[in-house]
Amino acid sequence: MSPAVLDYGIKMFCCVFAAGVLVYVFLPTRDTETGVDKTRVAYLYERKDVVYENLRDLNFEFKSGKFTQEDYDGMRVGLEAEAARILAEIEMLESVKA
Amino acid sequence: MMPLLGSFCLLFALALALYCFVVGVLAAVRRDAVGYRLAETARRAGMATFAAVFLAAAALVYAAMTNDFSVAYILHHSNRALPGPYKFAALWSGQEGSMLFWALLLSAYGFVLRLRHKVDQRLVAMASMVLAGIQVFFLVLVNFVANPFGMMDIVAADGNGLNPLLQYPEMVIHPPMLYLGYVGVSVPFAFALAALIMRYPGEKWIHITRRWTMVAWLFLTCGISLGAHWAYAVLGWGGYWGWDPVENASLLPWLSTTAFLHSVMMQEKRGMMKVWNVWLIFITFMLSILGTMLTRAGLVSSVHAFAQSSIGSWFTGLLLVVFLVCLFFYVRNRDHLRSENKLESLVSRESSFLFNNLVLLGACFAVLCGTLFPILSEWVRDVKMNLGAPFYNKVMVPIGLFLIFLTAVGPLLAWRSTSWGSIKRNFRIPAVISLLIEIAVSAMLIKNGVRFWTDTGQMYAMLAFCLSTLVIATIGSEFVRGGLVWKNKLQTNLLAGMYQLTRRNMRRYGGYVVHFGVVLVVIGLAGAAFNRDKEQEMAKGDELQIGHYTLVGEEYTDDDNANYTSHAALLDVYKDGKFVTRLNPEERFFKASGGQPVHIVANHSTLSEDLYIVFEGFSNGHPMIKAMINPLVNWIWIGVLVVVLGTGMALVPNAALVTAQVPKAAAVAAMEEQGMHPAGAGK
Amino acid sequence: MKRIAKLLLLPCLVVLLMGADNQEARFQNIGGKIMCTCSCAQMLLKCNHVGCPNSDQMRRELRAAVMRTSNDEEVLNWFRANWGITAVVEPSTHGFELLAWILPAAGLGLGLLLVLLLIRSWKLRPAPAAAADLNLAPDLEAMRARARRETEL
Repeated sequence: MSPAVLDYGIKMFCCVFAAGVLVYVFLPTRDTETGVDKTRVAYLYERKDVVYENLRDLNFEFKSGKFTQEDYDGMRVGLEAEAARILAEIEMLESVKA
Repeated sequence: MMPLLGSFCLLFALALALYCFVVGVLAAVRRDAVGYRLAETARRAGMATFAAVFLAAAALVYAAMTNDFSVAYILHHSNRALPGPYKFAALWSGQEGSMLFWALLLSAYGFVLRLRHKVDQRLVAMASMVLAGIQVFFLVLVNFVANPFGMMDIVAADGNGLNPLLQYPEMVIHPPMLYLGYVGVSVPFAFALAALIMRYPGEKWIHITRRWTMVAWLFLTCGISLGAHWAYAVLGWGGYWGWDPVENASLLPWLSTTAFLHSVMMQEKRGMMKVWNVWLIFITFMLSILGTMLTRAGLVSSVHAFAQSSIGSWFTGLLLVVFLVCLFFYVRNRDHLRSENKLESLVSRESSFLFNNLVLLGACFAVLCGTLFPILSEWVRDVKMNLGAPFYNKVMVPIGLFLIFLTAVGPLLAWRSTSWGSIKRNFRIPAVISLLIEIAVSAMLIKNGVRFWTDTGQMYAMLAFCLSTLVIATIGSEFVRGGLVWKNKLQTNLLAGMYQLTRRNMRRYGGYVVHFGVVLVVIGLAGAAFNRDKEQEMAKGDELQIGHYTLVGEEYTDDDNANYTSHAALLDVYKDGKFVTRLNPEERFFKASGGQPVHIVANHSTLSEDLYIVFEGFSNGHPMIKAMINPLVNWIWIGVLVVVLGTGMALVPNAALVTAQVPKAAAVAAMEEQGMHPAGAGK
Repeated sequence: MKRIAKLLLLPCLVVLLMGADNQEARFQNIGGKIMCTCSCAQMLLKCNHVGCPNSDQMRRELRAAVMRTSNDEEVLNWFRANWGITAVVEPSTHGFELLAWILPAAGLGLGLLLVLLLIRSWKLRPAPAAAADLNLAPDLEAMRARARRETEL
């Protein structure tokens, strides 16, 4: 291939590439999704998962013999209280919604 | 022809990135239907940036492969005789190319991020905007300041070649690994800043970026250890770490990312340390920019400063802008980062994480001070005073030892608070095991005539061994205890129990495996305190005695090929009189680079020690051989492999929980509920 | 008489040998703080590449300086004066270079202070509602029971 043809080919390629990209960017094929703001409930579900995971970890570690009974009781009461409040708030918000 | 394509693609990529950034900002401000449509075009422009930068990089690689010396960059970093993989590596071996490479990796990360925008569209859109901002900076650099497609007026017949020190297989992957790490840090940074800007409720951004951060950390770890291995195998001074400014530059973000990976758990689990974490990731990103700057702008003189120029001031500008932007949004939204829980006891995993962070950041700060000290001393006294290994060793070794101690203690403490009763219960067995091993090691050393108590370095090494075995014992006890629970529950054997245990919490037990690997590395590093070396002229038939080894000079040969000329020695190695192996150290002179010598080290490596031989050239016509015995070095590389394995484990999702889970449907329904107000955390 | 002389000589010899041993230790110690100035980026005692224009001479001078004076700092100062201050890579413990030692320590100290302040502020801060008190209202007890049920192993 002669340099001139190659040069022309490259220029053509650049144009086609740029046009393709512009079409891709500005002509979305489907409806754009708007996305939603995160709600308090969604946040609470996240928190609940975390506190539950902490509680499961705690139970497991106690079973594996890492803590004394007093340590375990103290930590479990604290975490369960946290979980209970989250559950209560979820319930409250969902009953309002319903 | 290809430079034309490259230049066009770079300009086009800049336009796309600019669009993605500007429209991203607009869309974030305008929160209506038009805004969402704009955000979608911005997202697509961001993804298209990758295609454009990729084409530009491909054009540069093509030019290197086809010896297109009309491109100045190719002329300076390649030559005809250079083997293919090194021609490919030309992409990152010079300043302009490595800036392009940065932009390419950033756009690749951005591509994946934008592709997976469904995890949380709003948050990803904001993070994408931040990434586009960084992308614009690098594209401006490669377009207008350090353009890799600059042309030569006269086309030379051959190029200047690649720096011979870089002509080594590991060097083909070491820089990309480090860059993947440096650039990878941008992703958690972008998410953290995005979450702060939009006052994102909850810690989901951490959840989303957790794997990204681990991957960036993994790449940094691999990059650093490959560099260390390269230094050990190529530079021929028998060490792997010289506290060179550029080595330090990679260590800095590694240290702060390590701190972040730990402290972020406090936020995930307990909703604490939000301010700290946000600043930690901001600082980590700035350190990775500083790392790039130190490597590529020649701010501090270094054997690594393969490329030097004026782009330093651009980087300083970027650092300043990043800092100001972070500070602005922090001041504006700092109330959003209030902690949800408080520290309940000093003896808890929370506080062990706090101290871990303190020590890691202290180490980071010490290294930073040492690295920037030459600049400071140049300002104050007009002389660049470099700080060498003795300084760093004195400062860093005690810090490192304390860190290993924390590694041993931390996992055994519980969240919130731990009583002495629990601590005693967890520590008794590991402490006894570690003490017994330490006594055995001491006895063995004394039997071999090593008086370690007379040498500070060796005393430190002994302490490191002691703490390392303590860590290994505590990790072992964690696996065994947990494994026993599963063994009883599932009525199976201990090994299967340990497997089940790991599968159900890959992150945690993968993390322990990483700790185990780190400890192996530490054991390997501590071995350096017992290094020995000897150097002598070795004519044919001469003998060199070192430790249990005897080297006998068998033959000396010369070679001459298109790329280099070389001298090589053939040495027979005997251990306690028995033939072990034949070693072949070499010295090469690369033609394209003006005959700079490079040592090809011959290494007889075993688990207990390396016999490391360097052919140093000729002195008064006689070949000079330097032999070193470096104990335990192999454990460093084994440790790194274990670290990689552990990180890989931590990246794998957990096996399903045994207990029943509450259906998520309710949560999804709640998220679709438009009427509810977005909520701040901790309300 | 000879025997007595020998007996007297022996301790002297021992002292002298110990001195030599001490000199060697000082040579090794100080040599570990000096960098070869041929731009090989190696420590003086480690630098041994063939044809190094500086290291042999530097090592000779170091040995002479160690013999000449018993003050290590003086030896280092001599090197700073004759080979440029960049030759000595371990900063001295006074003047501007002291800063290199102080900065990391100060950084750690400041960090420790920050951590302690942080802990203090955590302890002083009124506990957030979620963790305020562990005695739950009766209606929450049901929730607690549910949480316990759902997290039992």
